[in-house]
Amino acid sequence: MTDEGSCDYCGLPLAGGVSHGSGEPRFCCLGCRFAASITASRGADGEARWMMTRLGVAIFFTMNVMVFTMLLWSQQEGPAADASAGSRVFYDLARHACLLFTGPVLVLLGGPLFEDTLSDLRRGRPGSSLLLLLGVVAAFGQSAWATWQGSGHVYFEVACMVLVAVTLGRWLEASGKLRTTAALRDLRKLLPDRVRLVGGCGETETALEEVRPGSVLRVLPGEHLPTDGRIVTGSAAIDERTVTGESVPIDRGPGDIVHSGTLDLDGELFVEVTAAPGTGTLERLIDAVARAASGGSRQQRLAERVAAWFLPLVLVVAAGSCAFHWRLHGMAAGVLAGLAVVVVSCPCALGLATPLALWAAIGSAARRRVLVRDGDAFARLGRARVWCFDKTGTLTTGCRVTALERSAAAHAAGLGDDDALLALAAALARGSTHVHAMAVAESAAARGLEPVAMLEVRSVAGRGIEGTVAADGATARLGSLGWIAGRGEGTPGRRTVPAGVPQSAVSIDDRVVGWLWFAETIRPEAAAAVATLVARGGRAVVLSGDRPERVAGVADELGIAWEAPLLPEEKLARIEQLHRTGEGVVMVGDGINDAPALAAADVGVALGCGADVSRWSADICLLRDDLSDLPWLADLAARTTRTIRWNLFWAFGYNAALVPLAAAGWIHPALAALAMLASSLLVVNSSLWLADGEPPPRGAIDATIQVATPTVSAATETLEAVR
Amino acid sequence: MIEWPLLVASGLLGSAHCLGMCGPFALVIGSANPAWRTNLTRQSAWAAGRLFTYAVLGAAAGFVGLRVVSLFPGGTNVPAILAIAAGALLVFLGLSAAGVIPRRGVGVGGCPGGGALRALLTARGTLEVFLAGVFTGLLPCGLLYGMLTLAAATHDVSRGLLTMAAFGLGTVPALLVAGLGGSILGLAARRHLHTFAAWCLVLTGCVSIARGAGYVHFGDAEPAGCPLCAPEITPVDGR
Repeated sequence: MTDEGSCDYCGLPLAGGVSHGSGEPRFCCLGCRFAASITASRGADGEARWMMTRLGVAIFFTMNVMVFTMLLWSQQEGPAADASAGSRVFYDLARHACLLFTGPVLVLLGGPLFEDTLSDLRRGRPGSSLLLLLGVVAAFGQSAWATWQGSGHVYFEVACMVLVAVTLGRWLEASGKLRTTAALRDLRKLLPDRVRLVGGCGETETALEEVRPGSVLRVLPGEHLPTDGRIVTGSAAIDERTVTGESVPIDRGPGDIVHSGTLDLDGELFVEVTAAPGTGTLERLIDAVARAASGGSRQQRLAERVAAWFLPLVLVVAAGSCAFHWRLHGMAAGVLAGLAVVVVSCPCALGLATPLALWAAIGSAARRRVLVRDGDAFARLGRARVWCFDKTGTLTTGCRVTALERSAAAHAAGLGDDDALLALAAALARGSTHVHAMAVAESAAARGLEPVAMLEVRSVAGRGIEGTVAADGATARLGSLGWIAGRGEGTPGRRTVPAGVPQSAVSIDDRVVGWLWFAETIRPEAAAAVATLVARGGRAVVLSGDRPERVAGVADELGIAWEAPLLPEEKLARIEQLHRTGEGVVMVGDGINDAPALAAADVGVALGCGADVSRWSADICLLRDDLSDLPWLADLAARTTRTIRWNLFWAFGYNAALVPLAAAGWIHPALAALAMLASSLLVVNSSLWLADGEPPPRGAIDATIQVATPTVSAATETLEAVR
Repeated sequence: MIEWPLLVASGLLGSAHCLGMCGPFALVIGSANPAWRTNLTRQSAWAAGRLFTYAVLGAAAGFVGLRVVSLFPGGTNVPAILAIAAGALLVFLGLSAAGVIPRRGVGVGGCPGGGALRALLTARGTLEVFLAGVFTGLLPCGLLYGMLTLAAATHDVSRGLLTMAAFGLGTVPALLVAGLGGSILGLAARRHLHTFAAWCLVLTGCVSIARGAGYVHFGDAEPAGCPLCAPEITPVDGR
């Protein structure tokens, strides 16, 4: 991401917005530094393999060290822990084996830790890296000396385990973070790196960043538009799904605007660039989502505040514990206790708990073309109980012709059947954008009718459309009943329909020849979506500016409450009133027309947002215009909130429980390292469930808690036993 | 203590279980290099890696057993109870593999290291494949946990190590065959073998429980003695 305060490797926000030396790469943690250094030298493909090889060899040696250490420990404890010659030889052999196997681990994993420490020191902010390094060096130095001398305790396993666990933990965190931000990177990958620039001296290939407004680019079929622009020559069907959610390709020709990230399906285009580099539609869209994620949430700010004093506190506790145990049991015990405190404390879990889950959820939503512009929206959505819907354009997509009827005069006018009436009406309706006219045109098209040839079709504002039939010069009209009836001998149709059902009439030379009835088309997925929301414990209500009977028709079909007619300001007032009751209010509406209501609700969810992200007023935008995204979103929000809460609970609880134990000298540093590793993994893993878009199996998180808790307590018990 | 040949047999018979989870890994290793001889080297390196991890885990389990025993000195109860626990776990695993006990889906989230393991499995070098084996040995596996509990029951680092090594050795042939030849047995035969292996697990578990039960003693009562085999569980002298 391009934000000021984000990690150069994983793209997550840097804690506390660390910003230093321009040009120098910035990383949020040791893991990212480690992974990035390998990526730089070997490329992204080689990274995982090289990383695993390096870590794997270190782990292999560490496992050897552990086996010999355990043999040593059991010898010390066993009945044969005397000074017999055989036992001494075994001791010496085991110690030397440990020394031999520890060397490669120091070489392989000590480097990145050393670099991280140096970088901290250069910034004047020495952190836990320095202490870890000191602890490792002290443990190794003391052990090597003891081995050389042939007496005294050895702590090779401490040096190995700390290095392996710290590196492995940080790297797993880094790759976990990378995966949570993958969805946004995938979107960015839609833009090509290099483009074909058309100039006076022919065509040149150049980098996308160097393209300036006014230049002309050549885009071939099958390519994504690299930037916003206006078509100069050529025409093509454009798939705009990425930025507008519109699934039907749209034909674009000279003079038309095209957006970056959309797909040219079938034609060669010459496009004049209108946006500066990095400011195209897709880039603005991604930046908006990235800003939402890095803006953080209330919980994140809380965690950051805690993390800010957490590290100094750990350092003080470590120093105190070191001094205490040194004085009581000697230097080795002091160093081990201090090191255990530093190793077992997991500020990363604290710092990662919220952003990781938030990024994962936002990325997961983006993959489904649900764009979240405010990180806090997830928390508010999780609490929301009242779902307000706009009607037109939100629950309904338009109109359809439900019935038609010919009058007695129809036959005389040459309209032998209903299709002839519809063909005549469609000829008039063609070209009008009125919902009823569009419904007539669609209905005729659906029946495969060829519209009657017309001359001079014109619309009469607020009344209807009139035109001259090409065949016989008669004047045909399609419009409101009042208008048609008022002109001649028209009467309403005989069909009995409930009051309020919209109706139009058709006349030829002022004689009514037929009537058409309309109904609003409810989105096919609306009923299921609303039912799911209600089943989840929500309450749904339609707030509409339309006539009550029409709103009632739609609301009754969906089985939800309705309020109409509401002026825009009344809608706003109603939402504010609902908001004051304390129940979270979600407003689902049209991105442009319902802007005030969307802004007033706890969470505004918009359909039909259009390509221009700067005009969006909602917190969340359903680019696909699909209402079934709503229950999914509510579910994701609930899971995100749960994950964040669980992550924070774990991070706080873990540190609160284990740091004191380590300070008391009850936790061996090697086991402290394992516990820290487990803690990081838990936090990363629970967030990855969100990133992968798959709901965790029922109770899986609880199961993890149940599994994790005994692991830690078992580790503690074993440590106690070891001591 | 169950004899090591029986452990090798458990590994051999449990292999059908291993084929389910680890079989695909063996196939991936084979697919990277189809030459028979190279593939054999790679499969052996992978098996060695797994064996190494099992041995280290066995040593750790033996050590934990030792610590637990010394926490409760003066009896054989601890290793006996561990043996019973291991047996119960194995019986449970066997029964659920045989379909007698309905399986519960336990969710495993996306492991961030998953991609890296894949990278190692398909790497050209033998070292990488060996390391892949080392990591494969750490994958969660019920059978492994059962055997580790058994290793803990030995309450000795080197015997725990050998226990797991023996078990690991038993798992090698089936995976080697799977990795080399793809699939030798038909689907129906494999299903029969799977059921057979499941019941063998149950049997191993029962033997472990019986051996453990034979050595549990209450108060001053003498242990009843092993109903099946030679007495291998040595009482810890009341240190």
